[in-house]
Amino acid sequence: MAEAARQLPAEVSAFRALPKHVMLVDRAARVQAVNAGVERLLQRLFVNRPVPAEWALPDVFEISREKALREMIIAASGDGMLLPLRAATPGLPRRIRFRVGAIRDSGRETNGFVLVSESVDPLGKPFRELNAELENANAEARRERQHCRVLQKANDDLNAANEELKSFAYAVSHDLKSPVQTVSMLLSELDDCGSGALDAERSELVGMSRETLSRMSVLIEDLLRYTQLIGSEKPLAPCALERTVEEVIADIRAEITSAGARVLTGALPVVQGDAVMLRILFQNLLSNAIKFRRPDRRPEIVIGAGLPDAEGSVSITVADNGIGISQEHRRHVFDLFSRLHRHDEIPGSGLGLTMCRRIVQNLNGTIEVDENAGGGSIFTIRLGAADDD
Amino acid sequence: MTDLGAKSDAAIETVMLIDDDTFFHVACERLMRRSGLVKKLLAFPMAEDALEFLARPDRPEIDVLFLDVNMPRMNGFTFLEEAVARFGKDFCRMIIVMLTSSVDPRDVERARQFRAIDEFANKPLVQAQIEEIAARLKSGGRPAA
Repeated sequence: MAEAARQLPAEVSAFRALPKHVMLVDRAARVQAVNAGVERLLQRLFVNRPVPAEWALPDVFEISREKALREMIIAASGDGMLLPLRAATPGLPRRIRFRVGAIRDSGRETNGFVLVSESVDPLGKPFRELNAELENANAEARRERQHCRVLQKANDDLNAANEELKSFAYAVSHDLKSPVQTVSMLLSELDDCGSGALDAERSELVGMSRETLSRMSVLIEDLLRYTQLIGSEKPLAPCALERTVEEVIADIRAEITSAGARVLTGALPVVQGDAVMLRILFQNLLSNAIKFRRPDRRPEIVIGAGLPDAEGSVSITVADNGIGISQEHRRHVFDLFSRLHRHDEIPGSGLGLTMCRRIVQNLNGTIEVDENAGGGSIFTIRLGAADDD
Repeated sequence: MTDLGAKSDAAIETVMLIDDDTFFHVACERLMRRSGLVKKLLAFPMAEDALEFLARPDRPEIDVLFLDVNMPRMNGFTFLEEAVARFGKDFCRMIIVMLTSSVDPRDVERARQFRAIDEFANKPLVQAQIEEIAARLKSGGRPAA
C-alpha cells in the first residue's frame, strides 16, 4: 500500500492531504493509490492483521469487481456511488459515498477512476490540529538540524585540537632532540679536549651528564613514537600474527641472544589490525619480557592464543618468567610515564606499555596484565579475529 | 649518611634528600658541600627506604627534607601521606618539595593540599636557595606562606 501511495503522480499528490477518503482505482477495481484518510481507514479495518500490500475494492467494500467497474463508469457521469464496508467497525460509517472521476488516456479511453468521498474523513483530525502537528514537526526538524550543526562543530573543533596537539607534541619532541644531541657532542669534546684528559673527577661528572642526556634522548625518542600513535585511525585489515611475531623476533634477535632468552611461539591467529602497530606492540612486550628478567633465571617467553569467542574476539597471551608486577602496581603500569624502577636499576621512558595500550585501543581491543603461574607476568591482549583466508 | 664537613655555625645540621635520580644526588652533594652550609646529607633514591629510615628510633633529627615528586613505585606525595600518618607532620623541621616544572598546575594543586609542605623549590637547586633555607632555620621561623 505504501508502495502504491508513493507512486501517486505529482498532479494528484495533492489529494493525499485532502481531509476525505481518496483512492485511485483501475478498471479491474484494483486500488492503485490512496490518501492518508484511506490509510487510516485500512489500519482501523485490519486492526489485528497486516494491511495488505495490494488490494481491490471487493477486499474492503461489499461489491464485486464487475459491479464496481460498472458503477464507477456510471458514477463518473455525475451520480456518485455508495460503497458499503464489508465489516461494521466502531467509529467508521457503515457505507461511504464517493464522487467518481474518470481518468482517460490520450486516446480518450478510460483506464482508471479517482474516488473522492463526499463527507469528511471521520478519523481525520481537524485542519487546525494537523497544521499544528506539521509546525511542531517542522520545529523539531529545525532543532535537530541545529543540534547536528553544533555537534559537527564540536567534532571539528575536537579533531582540530587533537591534530594540533599531535603536531605540537611531535614538534616539541623533535626540536628537543637537536639541542640534546649538540650538548652530548660538546660534552664528548670536553671529555677529551686539549692535551687529552680531564682529571678523573671531572671526567666522571661529564660521564654522568652524557648518561643523563642519553636517557633524555631515549625519552624523547619514545615520546615521538607515542605521539605518532595518537589519533591515528587507520583502517583495520587482517594481519597474520604468526608472521608479525616472527618478524619481531628477528628484529630483536641481538637482545634475545645476549640475554640467553628462549621464545616459544604457539599457533597464532589472524586478527583485525594494522601490521605496523602490531609489530610495535609485540616488540614492546617482548623487549619488556627480556628487560624485566630475573637475574637468576634464564628468560623464557611463551606467546600463545585462544580460540575466537562468540563475539569474534580472540585473546593472545605473552607470558614471561621475569620479575613480575606486584598487585598494587598492576593497574598503573599502562599509565603515561609510569615507572616502577629507577633509571640506574632498569632504564626506560615509562612509555612502552602506554604505547601498547594506545595501540590495542586503536585496534578496538584490550590489554591487561596478570601474574603468571610461577612468577613473572602474563599480558593478555584481546583483538578482533579476522577470517583465516 | 655523608659528612659534608661544614664547620660554620650557620650550617644546617642534617639534610635528607629523596630523589630517584642518583646523578642528581651527586650534583646536590657537590653543591651543598661547596656552600659550606650543610653538615650531614642523607640521600635516598627510593621513598620506601627513606620511610624505613625515619622509623628507626636511633635516627638523627632531620632539619630539611628535599623531596622529589615523580619517583617510581612511591611518588613524593604518597611518601608525605605515609610519613605524616606514621610520624606526625613534624617528622622533620622543614619540608621542601622540589618541582621539576613550575608550570604544571596539577602538581601545584596537589601540593597545596599538604599543610606539612613549607616550600617549593624548582630544580635545579642553586646555592642561593641553600643560603636562604639555612638563614631561615637559624632565625627559627618558618618561611612566609
